[in-house]
Amino acid sequence: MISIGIIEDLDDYRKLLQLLLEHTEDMQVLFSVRSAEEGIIECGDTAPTVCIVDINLPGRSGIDFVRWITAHHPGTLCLMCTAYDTDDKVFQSLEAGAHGYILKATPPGGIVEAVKELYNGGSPMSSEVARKVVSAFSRKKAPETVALSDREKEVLELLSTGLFYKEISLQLNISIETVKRHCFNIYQKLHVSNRTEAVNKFKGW
Amino acid sequence: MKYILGFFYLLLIFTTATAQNINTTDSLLQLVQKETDSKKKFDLLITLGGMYVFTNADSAVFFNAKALEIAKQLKVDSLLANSYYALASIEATRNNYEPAFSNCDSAFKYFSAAGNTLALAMVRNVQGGVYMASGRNELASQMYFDAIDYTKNDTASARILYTYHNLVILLNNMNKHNRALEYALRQYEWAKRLNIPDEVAYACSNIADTYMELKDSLNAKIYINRFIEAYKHSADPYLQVIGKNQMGMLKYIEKNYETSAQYFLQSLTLNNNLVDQQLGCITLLSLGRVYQKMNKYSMADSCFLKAIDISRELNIKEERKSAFEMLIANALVQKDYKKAYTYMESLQNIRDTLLNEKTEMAIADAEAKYKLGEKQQELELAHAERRIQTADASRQRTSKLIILFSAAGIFLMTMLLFNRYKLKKELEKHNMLLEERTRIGRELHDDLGGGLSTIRLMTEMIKDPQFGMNGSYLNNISFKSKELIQNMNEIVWSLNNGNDNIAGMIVYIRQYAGTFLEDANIVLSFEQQQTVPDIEVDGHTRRHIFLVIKEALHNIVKHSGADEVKIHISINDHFTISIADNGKGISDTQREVPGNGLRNMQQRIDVLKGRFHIIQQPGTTITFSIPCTSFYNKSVS
Repeated sequence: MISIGIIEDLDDYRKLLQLLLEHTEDMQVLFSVRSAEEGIIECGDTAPTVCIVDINLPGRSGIDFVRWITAHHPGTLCLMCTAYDTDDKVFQSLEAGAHGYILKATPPGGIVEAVKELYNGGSPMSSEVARKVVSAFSRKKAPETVALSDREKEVLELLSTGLFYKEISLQLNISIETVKRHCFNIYQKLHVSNRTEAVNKFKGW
Repeated sequence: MKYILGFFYLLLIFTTATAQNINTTDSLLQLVQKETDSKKKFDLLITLGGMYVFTNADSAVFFNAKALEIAKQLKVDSLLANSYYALASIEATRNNYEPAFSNCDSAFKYFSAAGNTLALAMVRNVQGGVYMASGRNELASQMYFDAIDYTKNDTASARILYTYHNLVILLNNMNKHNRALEYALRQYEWAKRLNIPDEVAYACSNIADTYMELKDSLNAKIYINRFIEAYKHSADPYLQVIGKNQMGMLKYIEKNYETSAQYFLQSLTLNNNLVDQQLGCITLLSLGRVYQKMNKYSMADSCFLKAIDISRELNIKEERKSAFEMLIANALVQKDYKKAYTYMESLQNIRDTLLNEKTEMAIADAEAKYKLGEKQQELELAHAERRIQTADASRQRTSKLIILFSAAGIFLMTMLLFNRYKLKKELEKHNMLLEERTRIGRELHDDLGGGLSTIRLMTEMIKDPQFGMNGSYLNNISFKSKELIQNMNEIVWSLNNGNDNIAGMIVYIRQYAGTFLEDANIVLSFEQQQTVPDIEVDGHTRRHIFLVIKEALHNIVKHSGADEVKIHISINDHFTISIADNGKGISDTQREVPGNGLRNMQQRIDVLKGRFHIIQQPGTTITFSIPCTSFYNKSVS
């Protein structure tokens, strides 16, 4: 059973999401709210496994919520909900701790699939996001423990040139799931390196 | 002595006279009368003065005074200096020491102003000559050392030779024979280097004389021979006289007294034409000595007595002293003690006066030196003043330049600033454009993207029976689509430049409010002042104003339960719009709810530097007031 929280300010869309996921097997909507502030209140004691978060929210943004939940409930996976994946804020969310994103125009089956994938440790990554991740890692000088593996680097490189998951899996002779897993791990390392940087900054290094 | 002073005068003539080949003073006078160019007239006058210097000193002074007048009119330092120098030379030749000194001072002042160090040396030479003539040897030597100082850098000049020459004579007179020898040898080297035979001859003569004073007849002989070698072909009459003297001296050393006496007699004959009595006096003394050696005592006595006469006439006591000493020696040899005693008395008198004179001279020298120091200080002061004047002038030039450069600088700065301003404006415009693009992107994203995505998801889910979504969702989609079309319309409206005046904006608001409220069954009464000023409103501002009103209207429809809305618009320096409803008002809990639109409204109003306030009871009245100055300053269109 995957417990889910929804934070979306568009009433119709939020209700549709809620309806969709409640009708899906092994999924349970813990809360469905229209602002980050309400979401934080809902996540007080127990947080859901997956949070579907809209980026542009009234008041505090979806990115703020991701940052908060990553700090307080590290086990919760965030799936950002956006109209366009070229938005800068998508990458900012991923950097803040999100592990994936869905486009709002994604059909119902796709949304459910995305949640399941995320739950199983796989992430989507567009070429746009991949490029930003590459530059983020080259910029950050991450410590050894969060350095990308050679395979991850390969995946990132291919993604950033615009290849689809299927093409990458064929080229590297790995399954699509493995590609998605690599992406998930890359995001994971991105958060860690981002947090490390934050800690370093805090200590004044 | 005339030789010394006159020489410099001739030198001056050569430096100032024009190269015109004029032989007679008459033609020169005519030229002077005809000449209109001041500078040329000046040159001619100086030349004329030079021609009269030995024949008619008064005329020479007259012409030079005329030249001085011209120089004073022209106010040229070098001309002033030249005429003063010429006058000084003439007065020196005439033994008018005081005018000579004062003219020298003036000449020195102007030469020094003109920065002519060579001419300064010449002035010092004249001063030295005058001091020497007036028996003030210390000061004279001072002048000559000065002159040497001024000329030492000019290695090509023969002028230093005259200084050396005079200095050697002076030092010998002062019985400083070793120093005299030193300068005589320098004079010789210099003359050799410049390869002027006459000058070499003079130098040799000086060296020989000095060696004779030092009783070194061997070296004297060597230099007399060199002298003979150098003067052989000379046309200088003075040198001829000296030549005879030197030959006589040579024969005297060789103890060939007969021949020696002949040379001295020849010298005296030649000297009659030159009338240099001092030299003649010296020759007489030498001849007397020769006669003494030849035991021709009476002839020797007559020579000495004649020398005494001349020296008395010339007031040169050193020579007279020597003559008396010789006479005494002669008398003693002849055992004429009475004669010797008389001469001794005279000698004693001379010695006393010489001693007195020397003391007086020493006092005078000290005074003169003091005055000289003062004069130098004055000169230095004058120099300093001049430097200050020059500095002032250059400062004025500098300030002119500064003004010029400042003007250019200001112009450039203005250009640069203007360019910067233009660039900044362009950058601002560019940034504005980017901002506007981002804004449009965000609005498309928020208002259209979200709405369309929702419609998409909704239709997909309606198709799937498991969600059990009925026809009400189709109405929802219809409503959503209408909303999206409206949003699209608003975005396009705000982007359209054709709508950027206040009247157009009011019309748009009125239409929107009417349609929107009618759909919600709310009665709208719209009031506005009769005349609307023609004020431009950019798209950005239009969009903010419109969205604020839209938000307010939506809140009324959604939450107030009102059935009547009054909108009032007034425009003076502020655009003021108040929206009043007859609904239940805004509850505190509604105010707290995030995304209730109030914060959004506040933000938009803040951007436009306006104010908004809500009055409750009866119903709710929201009033926005935006300064008209905000209407177009963020324009990008």
